[in-house]
Amino acid sequence: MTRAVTPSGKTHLRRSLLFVPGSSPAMMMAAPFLGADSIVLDLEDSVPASEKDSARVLVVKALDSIDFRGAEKVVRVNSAGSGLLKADVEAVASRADTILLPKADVESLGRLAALLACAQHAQVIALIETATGLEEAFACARAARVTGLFLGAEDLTLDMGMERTREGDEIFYARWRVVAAAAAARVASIDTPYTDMSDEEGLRRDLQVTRRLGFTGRACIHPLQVEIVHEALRPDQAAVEWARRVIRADEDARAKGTGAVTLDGRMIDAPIVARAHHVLDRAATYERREVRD
Amino acid sequence: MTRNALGREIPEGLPGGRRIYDGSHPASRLTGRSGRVKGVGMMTAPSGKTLPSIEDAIRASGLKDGMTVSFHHHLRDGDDVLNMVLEACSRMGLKDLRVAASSIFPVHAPLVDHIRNGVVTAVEANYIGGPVGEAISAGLLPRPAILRTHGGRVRAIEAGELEIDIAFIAAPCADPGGNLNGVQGPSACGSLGYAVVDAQYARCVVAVTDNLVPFPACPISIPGGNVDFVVEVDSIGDAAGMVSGSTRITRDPVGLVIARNAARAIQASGLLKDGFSFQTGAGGTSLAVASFVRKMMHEGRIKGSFGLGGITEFFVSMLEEGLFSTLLDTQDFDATAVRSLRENPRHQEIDCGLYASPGRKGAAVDHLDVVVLGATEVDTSFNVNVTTSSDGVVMGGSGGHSDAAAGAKLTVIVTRALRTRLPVIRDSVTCVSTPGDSVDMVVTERGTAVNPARPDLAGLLRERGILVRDILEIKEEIEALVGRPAPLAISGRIVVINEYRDGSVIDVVRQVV
Repeated sequence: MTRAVTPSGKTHLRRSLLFVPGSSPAMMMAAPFLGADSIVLDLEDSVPASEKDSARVLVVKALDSIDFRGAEKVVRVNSAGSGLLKADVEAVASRADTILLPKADVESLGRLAALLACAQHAQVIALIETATGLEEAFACARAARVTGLFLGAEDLTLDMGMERTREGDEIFYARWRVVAAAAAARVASIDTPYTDMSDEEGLRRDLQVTRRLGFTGRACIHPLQVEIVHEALRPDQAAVEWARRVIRADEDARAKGTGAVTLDGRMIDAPIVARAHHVLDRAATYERREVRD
Repeated sequence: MTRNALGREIPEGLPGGRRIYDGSHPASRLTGRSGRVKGVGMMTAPSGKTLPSIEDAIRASGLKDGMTVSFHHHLRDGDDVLNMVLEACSRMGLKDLRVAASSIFPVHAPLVDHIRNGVVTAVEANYIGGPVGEAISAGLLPRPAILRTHGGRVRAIEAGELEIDIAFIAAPCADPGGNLNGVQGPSACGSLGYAVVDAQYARCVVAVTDNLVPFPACPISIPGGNVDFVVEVDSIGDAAGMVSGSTRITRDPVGLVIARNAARAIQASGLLKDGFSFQTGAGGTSLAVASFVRKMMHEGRIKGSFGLGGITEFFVSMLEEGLFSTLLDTQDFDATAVRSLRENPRHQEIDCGLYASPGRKGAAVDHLDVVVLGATEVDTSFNVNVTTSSDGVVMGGSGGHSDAAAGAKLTVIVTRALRTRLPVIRDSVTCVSTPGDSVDMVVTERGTAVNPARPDLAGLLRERGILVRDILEIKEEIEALVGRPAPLAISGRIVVINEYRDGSVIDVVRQVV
């Protein structure tokens, strides 16, 4: 599973990225206890224009004074076109683990990289929410400091003039494209938040798509979504058992020097063995994280 | 000056020769009924019980300077009767009255002027919110107000410690014979559970109604045999004001996480099974706990026994979904609860003594499995303040808090550890409302603190993966963020005597400087 490595060398899972308004000290102080792998202190959409400056000050204070209990400290800065990017980055880059850049594309990621010159360890997650960003997804994933692609479906569908539906058929291509680009660049892929906060069942259904497509994590806009995301992305017991049997059968075959191996009537080849290792690796990582929680 | 069992400084020689709280269970000193039930013979007016005005009723009742008048709070912040009666008393030149209301709300702000003018010189209640609480905190009353619990008020009435001369009962429905109910009429408030006891024990009872129906009213909550006079007025209040405070599930994300964690703790306790009985406060987080518990009951096909206390739409839905066999109702918080009480025989009206009095031979709170309650402050000994704000101003009172906490097998406090910049968890609460030995756990956004007296519970919670933390650790963590609260600037003058449910003095509130 793709993980982010922080300046301190700690490895972060990014199953869940929980958004917290940068203008709300109470929410920021509570955030470390809400169970998310990554906490996104937001300076962009959740902060009214009149509060941008004060929110920046509050986020700096929060980064300096709050113990985030091992969670990844992410700050969503304002976009390159907002006129606020420079001030945001200069204030938070040396304090946060990661900068989340909205409306990311190759050009804006380049500008961000230049601003980050002094922040040696800062990572970047590219928020893909424009048609340009989507078309440049692989290049974005390979841009300097980028350790994750994040699909922002609400702004993307707006940019593309699409109708946004509960079923989400219209974003299937974007999801697929982001996952593929992230996988090719070996960075994390984070699925768009589920915006109906009261519909837990809808979130669970939608997470099946997240999981099947291979996203490594999902954004959350309500703390109650965090646990549901973790639950849905955890490798289930049947998959873990299958993986163990595959690896056992493969090891037996190697020991005996036999060539082709079958399990339950199906041939096991190298990709299947690799997939089994991936499942066990993911399960072990989850288990470690849950013990820590 | 002496210290009670909780270490609170209590002055000696308080009026009434009050006992000091010694930490023993109230059951060990039940006082029982005094036998002071109203004597035979009614004060019936020559023309029957109906009188044309409140002034006429005041005259007929024999109300004089220095007497005690009582009121119930079923109309909560929509009540007009307390204001109407005291206004009439003021016009008639009465002075030095003691107001014994079950609760006082912001709508009762005119009471402040009556205190200022000497019409009222003493206040006793179970809850005092709004301007009256602020005025009392500022030292406006010449003698300390008395705050009791809901059960403690009944006990005090029945033991003769609180003698009511005239009970003025706001009656949403009354007949000329004085039979009353709360479920019919434009001002329907549901249960009349608090008023039942006043009607039994007051020397004289005046029903004030805006819905006079032909004899007999049906149903009858308070029988005419306990009512002396009936006065018809245009309106006894605004039923919309009954829905005061927060009676909706919180939408605050952190509040919801606290609620979910509290529900999980309840499940982990092993009490959430068939026969489960439950009470919550009407606060948004408490109701959110109920919503998670409701889901767990559905998923586990659990059939509960009873829901208790102030009844909300939410508890009604749990009754109607078959999650409870019955609701025991002392007061209603919304129109749906009133409708349910009127129509559903499994929704039962109970008087406040049956709800919570420690002076009777049995109270419903003693049958409770779980109660979920809020807090303004909690100290590291788990004592809870719901009486004052952190700046020392009276803004509430125990109500049923201490009663339910004492009775339930599991008492859960849900609160943020930090409220804006104010630490809720602290070394010492501003005023003790409920003693820590009746609190089992405090669920905050920073983890759940379990009373050290319940190591069994801490173990059960940990087994379920619930983050259990030392309350001291939570306190220190939040103090590191916002600092320690500065000591309050208070004078030595006592403005409130806070009685525990057994009548002993659990704490006092001093005047804010």
